[in-house]
Amino acid sequence: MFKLMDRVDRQHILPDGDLSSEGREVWGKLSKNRKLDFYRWMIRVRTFDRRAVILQRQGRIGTYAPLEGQEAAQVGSALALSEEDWIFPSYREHGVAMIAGMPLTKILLYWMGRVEGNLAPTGVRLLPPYVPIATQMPQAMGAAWASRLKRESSIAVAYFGDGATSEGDFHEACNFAGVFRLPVIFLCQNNHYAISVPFTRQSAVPTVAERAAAYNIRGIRVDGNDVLAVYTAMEEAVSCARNGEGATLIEAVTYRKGAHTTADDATRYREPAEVEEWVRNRDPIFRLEKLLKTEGLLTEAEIREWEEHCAEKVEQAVKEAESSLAPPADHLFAHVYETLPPELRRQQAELSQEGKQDG
Amino acid sequence: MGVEFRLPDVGEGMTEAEVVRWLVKEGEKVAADQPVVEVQTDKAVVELPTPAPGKVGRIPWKEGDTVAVGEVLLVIETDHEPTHGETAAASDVTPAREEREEFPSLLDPPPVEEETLPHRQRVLAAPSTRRLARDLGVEIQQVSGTGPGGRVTKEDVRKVAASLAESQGVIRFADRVARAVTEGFPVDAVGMGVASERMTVKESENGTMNEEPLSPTRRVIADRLLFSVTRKPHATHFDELEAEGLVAWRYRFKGETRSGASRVGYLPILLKAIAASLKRHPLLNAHFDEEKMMIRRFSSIHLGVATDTPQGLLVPVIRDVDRKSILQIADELRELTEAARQGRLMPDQMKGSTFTVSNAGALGGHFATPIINPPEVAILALHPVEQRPVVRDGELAPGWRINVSLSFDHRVLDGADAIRFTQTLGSYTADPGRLVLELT
Repeated sequence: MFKLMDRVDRQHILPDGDLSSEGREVWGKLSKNRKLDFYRWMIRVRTFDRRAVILQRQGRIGTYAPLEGQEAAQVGSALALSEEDWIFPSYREHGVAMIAGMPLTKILLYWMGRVEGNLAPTGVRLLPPYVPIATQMPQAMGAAWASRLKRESSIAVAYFGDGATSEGDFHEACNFAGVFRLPVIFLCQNNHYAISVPFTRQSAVPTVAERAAAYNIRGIRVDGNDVLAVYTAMEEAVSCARNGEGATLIEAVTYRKGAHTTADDATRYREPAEVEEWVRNRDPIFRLEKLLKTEGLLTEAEIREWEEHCAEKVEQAVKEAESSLAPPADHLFAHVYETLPPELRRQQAELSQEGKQDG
Repeated sequence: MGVEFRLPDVGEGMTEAEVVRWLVKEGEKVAADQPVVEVQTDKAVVELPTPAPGKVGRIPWKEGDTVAVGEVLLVIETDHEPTHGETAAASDVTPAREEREEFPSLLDPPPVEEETLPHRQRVLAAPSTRRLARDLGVEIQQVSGTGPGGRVTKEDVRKVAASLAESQGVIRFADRVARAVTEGFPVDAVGMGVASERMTVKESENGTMNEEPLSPTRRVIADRLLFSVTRKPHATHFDELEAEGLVAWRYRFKGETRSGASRVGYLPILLKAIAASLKRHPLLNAHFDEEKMMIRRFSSIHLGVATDTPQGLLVPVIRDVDRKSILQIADELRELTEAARQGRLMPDQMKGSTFTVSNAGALGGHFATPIINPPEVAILALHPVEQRPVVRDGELAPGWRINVSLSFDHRVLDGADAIRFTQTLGSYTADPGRLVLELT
């Protein structure tokens, strides 16, 4: 069950917080700020995530997709991107969204079912979460193609899970990107389960990365709980894309600690021993925290201070989101049709009539 | 100031949840976000955290109660005005039922509807499977899942649907038992409800007694027999058949073959003789469709052979008996009864019989009233071949005889049909050489 992990192409920070020999070289070249950034973002992401699960249980937000356990894969990859790059996320990429510049309030609004939660602030090239599986992949590929045609230096990245690799869209996006050498990165967070379906039931080949060969694009399989390995893999992919060397498929091997969503019960399909192994021995934050402490870059007091700071930020966002007025019900009619068909016009009139009666 | 914690929709579009366990007591202090209760939705057991810090007020629900989304789960007493979000957590949700008083009076009659509803079970099944269950009129709670983690699969639902249909006389009992035995899941998985293996010893007015629920296989048998006896008007015809030729033939055959493996008892040749008799009386080689009042006669002869096994009575089927040699029948019979005793019978090996033979021979007895295996129309019990005093040419002499008991569905067959059938069979047991006439 754990053999898969032994075959990653890249691991810099080992689960116990030691650096591999290659990792030591890479780590040495990073600024202190960058090293701490990894950590700060991962804590912020986790704090938000845990809070969101509680909010859902209190009935304050709708269904939510927890990401705890996948912080390194998201933070490491997103920190290697530039502002100009287009990001096509799935529904679990709250960490990526934060780094891209999406305010926490907006992320919460999205999970409250509020339309404002879809719209990124000006200048943030982040698409709304894609709930249908793998549909973002051809679209990211298309954005990369547009960038090429417009002679821009921006690249596009699609985030998806292992389940998406079983979809036709995965093939279409990879194939097109390979044929046209497009500046796109396909970042798969392989958390081993497509909801309850284990990866072995989705794929006859044991890894996602090896599929890259079929499209003549680069494929790399990294320890997705090692923020440094993910970061360097992503940096290389970004630089290839920008230099006209085409697409990369990155497989970040990771694990979600919790359920697929708040409506799921993961204990029904995962072995307790497996969960325990990942939660206890392979946590992405634990290893980085240990490394930073060993290097004298982080103290217990600083950790607590930062955790409190993050909790405050999240709390502030919760208050903001809960106090922001919901748009009137008839905004439902505003976002699909330019000109409303007659049936919807009738419904809209009916709704406004009801509103008057209630008032 | 009290904050009402209304049950939120913690799943996706759920309407109710069951209180599994309270994690706090009335009057207990709770910190912000402290878990207070475990509830069970149709998908998962989830812990719900308090919407506000404070003291737990009234807890109007017992463990095991079902609460509708939007109803007040509990009240938290706080010493400050609730901020937005602490108030009704699901304030925009209309309570599914009228608001009830927080403390129902003891004098109030219990809500009958809820009392009589079966305990809500947590069932793991894909939405498409649930839909299939609804379409087939199967209650998914009644299905034992055979998928990973007890997941109910479409196949499980179809099996239950089939067994429901069968209780209307459509599908054979053997299918269910066979599946249960061969696939290693209890028979209740094919729709017979829960059966416990446990025996309990109890004291009663009559002294110590053992109380034991029916085993799953036995339940299916019970169900099946009840159906046959209550729906099919049975009549039984008893006959004594001459078996001189049968005994002589077997004696000769035993002398000719020395190897133990090909030892042939009476049953294979009797089956062959029965098949030949059925050829002559095709009315008995038939199914009766209760719904359509339709008789279906078959050109092939597939004989069910009722077999005593540790799991209970199983009925493996030998197909095309009319087209097989006696040695072939003997071999097949040996394999099937062995498989039945070891619980290795495949469903296919228990399907499609057109007539059933119950071989009581090994155990003794002279008469029986066998119960027809629906949807068949007749069943023949074979009793031991034995020597009896017979009157031959006015003299008392020893003679070989075999008793048979033939039960038939009197709606579709009459006594005369039964008598004619056993007479034909008797002609073969008296002189198996007559079977040669049936060679094709």
